Amino acid sequence: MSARLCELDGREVRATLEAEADVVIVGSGPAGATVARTLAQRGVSVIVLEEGHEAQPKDFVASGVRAMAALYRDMGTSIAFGNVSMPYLQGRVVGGTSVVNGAISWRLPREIVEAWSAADRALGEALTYDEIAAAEARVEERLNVRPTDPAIAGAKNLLLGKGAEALGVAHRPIRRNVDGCVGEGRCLQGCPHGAKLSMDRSFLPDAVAAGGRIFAGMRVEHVVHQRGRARAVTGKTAAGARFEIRARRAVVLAASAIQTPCLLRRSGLTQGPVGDGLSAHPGVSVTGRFDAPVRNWRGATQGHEVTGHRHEGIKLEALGFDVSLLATRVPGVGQDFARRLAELDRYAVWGAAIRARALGSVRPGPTRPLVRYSLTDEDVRTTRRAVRILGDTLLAAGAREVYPGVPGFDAVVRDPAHMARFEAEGSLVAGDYAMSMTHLFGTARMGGDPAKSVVRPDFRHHATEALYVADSSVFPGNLGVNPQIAIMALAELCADRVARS
Amino acid sequence: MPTARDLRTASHRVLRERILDGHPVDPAQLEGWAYRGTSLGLPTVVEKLTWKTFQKTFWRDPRSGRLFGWNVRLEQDGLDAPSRPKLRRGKPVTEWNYEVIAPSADVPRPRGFDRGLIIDYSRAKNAPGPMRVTKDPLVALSPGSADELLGVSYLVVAGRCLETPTYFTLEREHRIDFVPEVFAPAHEADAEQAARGLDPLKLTALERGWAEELFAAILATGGDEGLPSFASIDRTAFWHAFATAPSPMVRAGLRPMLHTLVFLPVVSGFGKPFFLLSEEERARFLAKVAGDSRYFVRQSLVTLKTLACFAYFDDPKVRARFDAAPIAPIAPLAPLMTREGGAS
Repeated sequence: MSARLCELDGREVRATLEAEADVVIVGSGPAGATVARTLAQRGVSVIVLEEGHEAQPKDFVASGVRAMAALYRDMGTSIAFGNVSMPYLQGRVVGGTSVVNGAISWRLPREIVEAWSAADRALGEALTYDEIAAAEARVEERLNVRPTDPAIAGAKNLLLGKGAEALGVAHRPIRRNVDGCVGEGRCLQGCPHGAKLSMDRSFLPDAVAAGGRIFAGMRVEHVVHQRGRARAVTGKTAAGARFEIRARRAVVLAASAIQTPCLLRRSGLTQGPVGDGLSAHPGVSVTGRFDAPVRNWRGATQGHEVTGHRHEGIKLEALGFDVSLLATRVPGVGQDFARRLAELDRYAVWGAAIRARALGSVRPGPTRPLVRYSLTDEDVRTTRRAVRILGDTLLAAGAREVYPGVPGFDAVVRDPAHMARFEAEGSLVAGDYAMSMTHLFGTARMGGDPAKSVVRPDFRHHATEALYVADSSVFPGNLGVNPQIAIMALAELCADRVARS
Repeated sequence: MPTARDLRTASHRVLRERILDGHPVDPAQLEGWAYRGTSLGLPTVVEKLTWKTFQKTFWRDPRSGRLFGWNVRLEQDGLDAPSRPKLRRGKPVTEWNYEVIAPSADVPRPRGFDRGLIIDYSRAKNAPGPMRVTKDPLVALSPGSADELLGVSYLVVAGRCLETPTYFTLEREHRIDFVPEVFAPAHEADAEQAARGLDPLKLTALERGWAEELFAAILATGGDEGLPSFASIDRTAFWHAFATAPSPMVRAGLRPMLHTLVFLPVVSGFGKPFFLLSEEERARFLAKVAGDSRYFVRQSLVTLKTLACFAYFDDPKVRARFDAAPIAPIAPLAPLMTREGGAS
């Protein structure tokens, strides 16, 4: 696809803009793209508003710093503050975070849906596992979700499988939404081959083909609501002009678990615990050094996972990213660091996503959202356990050295007995762990009780008619697995409710 | 192929042959760089009265797209001493402004002087004087590389070209770090200043210099490990990205982190700020900080190390160093790819 997807580029819109559609969708990531596609294919006129710009595969560069500056919100330096300050990564581009994620596709685990239902009967009655699973199947079909092909996995993924196998722990190739992946290892910088079926390569073109319209470079600032009903959204184009896009039938917010609650609050829509209950999957990583080249930046970006620790709230993944980011995970400074850099191809970094119990909050700030999130003591123990498991797996895969990277413990570990000591002696101070946060949920959660939720089980705002939330804000909690497919499935169900409204 | 160093002792005849047989120069490879210049073949007395070493720069004007440049006067510390610009009121002394153009029919030149580019001093703002009639053909010493160049001056008087014996070599040295006011008009400099005033998060040039000294010490490349030195890489895109793209909170946080690492040595046994430490002292200080028990101090180093890696690995020649090797096959592992359930 080389033709422009977007009808308007906000960088070129310098005069006040007004437009109208049946449904106005804020955000073009997995949730917004799914709502747009579903509604457009049912003959509903939609306008999708995206703050970021449209980018083509030919525009995607390998350099980590340039890719992050071009495609990530705030160059990937958005920070959640708490007992450990963690960056959280979000795409800011047409297609949203799907353009810069690892293409990992998981279905919503049945036990999660059952737990939601048990906690909120109204939710359980309105949203069944079977309905979600059917929507997931449709999404997966369109996105060509398949296990990673070993031929393009690359050493880092195969070694993770080897390590888990040696330890007797369940593992598997990651199921990914790609078509024609050659193992370039650049998912996180945007696939230069267009092989990742991110939203800009799948659902958004589908939406446009069905008559949907996409406006890029449009920062939505407020939801206009009168007499208890959402009427329009307003904001500024990238060129600084004002815009108002009116919605004849509904406004759908799909701007992420960070931006959506801020938009609601900025608009005076403070019904329920909006912005509270932020849950996530904090991530920790461990670096290992192998004798043979691994070339961590090549092969499927994230092609293998260890699932055998999910019951502990830990899921291991191979992490592939640009050499610049890999270098930041290699220990040392000065000449020691330089010597290690010269052998950078020997280093691998694997990560663990933690299903944390912590709950944080999001509020609009003067220039950026204020995100607060502190790990619980139990989360820190789980993190420490995850570091030990990562170290064990690296050693089992043949790593010569492992670097836990936690102050107060030995910088270099060479055998499993030493690694086991980490779980007993490693720090339980959250700030001692270098972590980042992915998969954000729950800041406009759905439920039957207006006091405990922001939207109803059918995605409608409790207090404002014709206003829906379709992104992961509505999830009652975190999943323990990568949420893209679940987000899209629920967004499809949201679109169905909008179409039937 | 001769190197710039080889040509230091070459005769005028050899130098002229090199100009006639030189290789084309890609202007894109010059943009944004300062080159160390060495005068060749002039009598010692003339060199004593003028200069033996100097710098030439190449800068693309963003408004017009034209490639300009200027000479920088250097302290005459010797042929192999590091370049040290002469300063006047704290700023490098510049002169001999020029535009770089391709040879064309409307540019008079001696026969055969059309292999590379032409430095034309008549196309930039200069005080009245001989430079208004001076041009320098410029050729590359190696095909496809603009790292080492050879030039010579000739004069155009009344439509006639007069060759001179003022040959010079240019060797790529570092990215340019300032633009003289003649190319960046005062009102634009004021505007930039005003913008700086409105953006208190932007690092000053001094602070950026401190940051780069820390980056270089953290990376410590350019030694026997075989990687390019930090000083030799192109940091332009990194600083451009960093000036605007990160969140305000991160940009605001960088300054105290930077100042912590710059001035912590004063109170931690070194007695002076980081930029006055020797190379060996810098290494010892950084090793000490890496093990510091204070979260903010440690985190400051982690942040600066991250930025150093971002800047370093943005450079194409550094990236080329890591992109070239083939993927290591680990085919025997393929049958072990999946284990369901497992012993967990």
